[in-house]
This record gives sequence, C-alpha cells and structure tokens, in this order.
Amino acid sequence: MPDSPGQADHPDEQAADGTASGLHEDQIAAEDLARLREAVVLRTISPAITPAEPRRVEPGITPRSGLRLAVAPLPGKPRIRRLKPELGKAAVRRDLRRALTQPIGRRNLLIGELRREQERQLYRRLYEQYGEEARRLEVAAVYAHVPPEATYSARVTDDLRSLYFILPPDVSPRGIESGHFLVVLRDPHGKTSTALLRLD
Amino acid sequence: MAALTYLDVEALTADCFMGGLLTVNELGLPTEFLYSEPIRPSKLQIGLYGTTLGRYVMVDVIGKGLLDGSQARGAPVVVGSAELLALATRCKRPLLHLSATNQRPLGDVGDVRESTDTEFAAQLDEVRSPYIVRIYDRINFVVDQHLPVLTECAARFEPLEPLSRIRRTLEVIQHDAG
Repeated sequence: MPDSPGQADHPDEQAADGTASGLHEDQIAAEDLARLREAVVLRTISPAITPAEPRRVEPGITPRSGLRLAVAPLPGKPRIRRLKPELGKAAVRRDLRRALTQPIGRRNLLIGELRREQERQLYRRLYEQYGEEARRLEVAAVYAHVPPEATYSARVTDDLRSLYFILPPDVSPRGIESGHFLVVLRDPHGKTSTALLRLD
Repeated sequence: MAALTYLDVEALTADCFMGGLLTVNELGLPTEFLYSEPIRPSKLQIGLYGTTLGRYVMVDVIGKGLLDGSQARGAPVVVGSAELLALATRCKRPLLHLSATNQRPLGDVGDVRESTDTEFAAQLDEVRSPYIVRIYDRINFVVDQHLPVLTECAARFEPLEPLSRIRRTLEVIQHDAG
C-alpha cells in the first residue's frame, strides 16, 4: 500500500467493497483514513492543464501605493493662456464739420510772388475802387485765395505775416473759386483797411 | 484737381495717442477729416512692446487705420513726423515729410537738390526758401510724378499750414470729450 497519494500506481484497481485498499473503515486508523480520502480526492482531479481566465493588465506605470502620498499630483497639461498684445484697429471717425471750424491760414505774399500782370491788375482795381485816394494808400500786405464767403471772419496777425479765416458752415469747400486776394491798405495816418480784389 | 492729405499722430500723454487725417483741395480748404479715438495701451502692451510701443501705435494702429479710412486715394500724404514714413510699407500712397528751411531759393519751381536717397531739397514756390523733403524710398515717392502736386498746392497756400489745423482740431475734440 502506498504511503502517500502519489504512490497509487494502479488507480483502476479497486476492491469489491468499494474501498481503495479492500479494508473496512473501522480497521483503518483515523490518520490513515484521512490520508486515504485525500488521495482519492486528488486522484479524481483532472491532470489536464486548463487555460486560466485572461486578466487585463494595465501596462502603465503606476506609482507604488507607498509613493502616492509623497508625490504631489500633477495636472495633465499646464494651463497656457494666450495674451493678445495687439491693440487692434483704431476706431476712426469722420468729422469734416469740426475741421471746418478751424481757421485756415494764408501768409502775406512776398515781392515777386504776384505775377507782373496780377500786380498791374491790383493797382488798377484799387484806382477803380478808391479813385485818386488810391495814390495815398500803401499796400501793406496781400493774401492770396481768400474766399469772398469768408472775408467776414478774416483776421490778420499784428505783424501782418498771416491771415486766418473760417469758412461758413453752409459753404462747401468744393464750390469755392480761387483768385480773390485780400489786400491790407495803410493810409498816411497809419490807419489800415482791407479790400478784396479779384485778380486773374 | 490737386489734393494733399495731411496725417499726424500725437502723444497726448506718455501712454495716450490720437491721430488726425486732413485732406485739402488745391486751395488748402478741407474736403475730408478723420480722427482716431484716443488709444491707451494697457500695462501688458506697454511691457511687451517696450520702446517700440510708440512706433507701433503711431504707424500700425493709428496711421494705417486713418489711411485705410481715407477716400482721397491718390493724394500724396504729408506726415507730421518722419517716423510716420514707415507707413509706406503698409499702404500704397506716396508719403513725405516736409520741413521749412532758411536756405536761398534753388531756382525754378520744382527744382530739386539731391542730398541722399531719402532726402532732398525742393523748390516748391517762386520766391521762398526751399523745403527739405524726406521720403521712405524712391519707389513709394516718385519725384517726377508726385512733386508737381506739391508745387501746385504750394503756389496757393503754405504747404505746412494744414498740419497745425489737425493739431488744433484734435485739441478741440479732446476738450469736447472732457
């Protein structure tokens, strides 16, 4: 009789009374009986290798549980904000009316800036306007292209170097003709006056 | 009909800019006026742009914005500061900067005395001193083509005077805005 389950060489040989050894249970020591039962159980296990149930294994490296407390959790991606340093487009407004409220400047013409023919015309017009009195008047300054519509607003600087005028709001700059000259006249007493003359 | 456009951008304060564009006809009378709302760069923009901020605001933001809005497409543009000549890379309009001199007249109207590729003296009217003309390059400003517009206007009005009108108008707008 084998003393261990693995020593049962002939598993098909069985006694008529149903026991492995042919002995009655009361004839067998309790310890031997336990061994015998264990051997019978083991012999009924199929020796074939059965595939194990497949288990999903995560390939990722996970921190060991002991380290989890030591490593601060990192966010998945750093938060990147895109700042817009560009100033964009300037808000542009159209306001011709406001520009027309600004005085428009003209400078005193220098000798030689009037063409010879214009100079002749100037003195002829003065004679037509003032008669013999024109001989006593001195031409102190001449400003070119002063619109007749704006003469009411014309202001001459003290040194006579410049004249400024403002276009009336109801007058379109596109409709204004050139060729009007504003002349500052000075009489023998130093008193000044102005005349608007058309010179071609 | 000749027309000239004038463009200027002013620093109202160290960090506040405003610009104006005035187009005048051959008599110097206004036919178009545009202005930009004041631009105040943020602290972030001041930090990021550093010393280039002023140029960026004047040229790319205000100057280009005003020129894009102008309807006087072909008129040469007289800029208030030579810094604005860089607009030539952002638009197709001829740009120039003018400054007066006390030099003796060069001779006939339209005469030019070359100095450098981007600067020359030009006789714009009959008897007065020539002006120094600064340009971006000879491609943007073609002397034979664009200088006659200047001389035609200078025969009727002082070619720098409209710039002072832009400044005054911007002051009025600022004042009215409170």
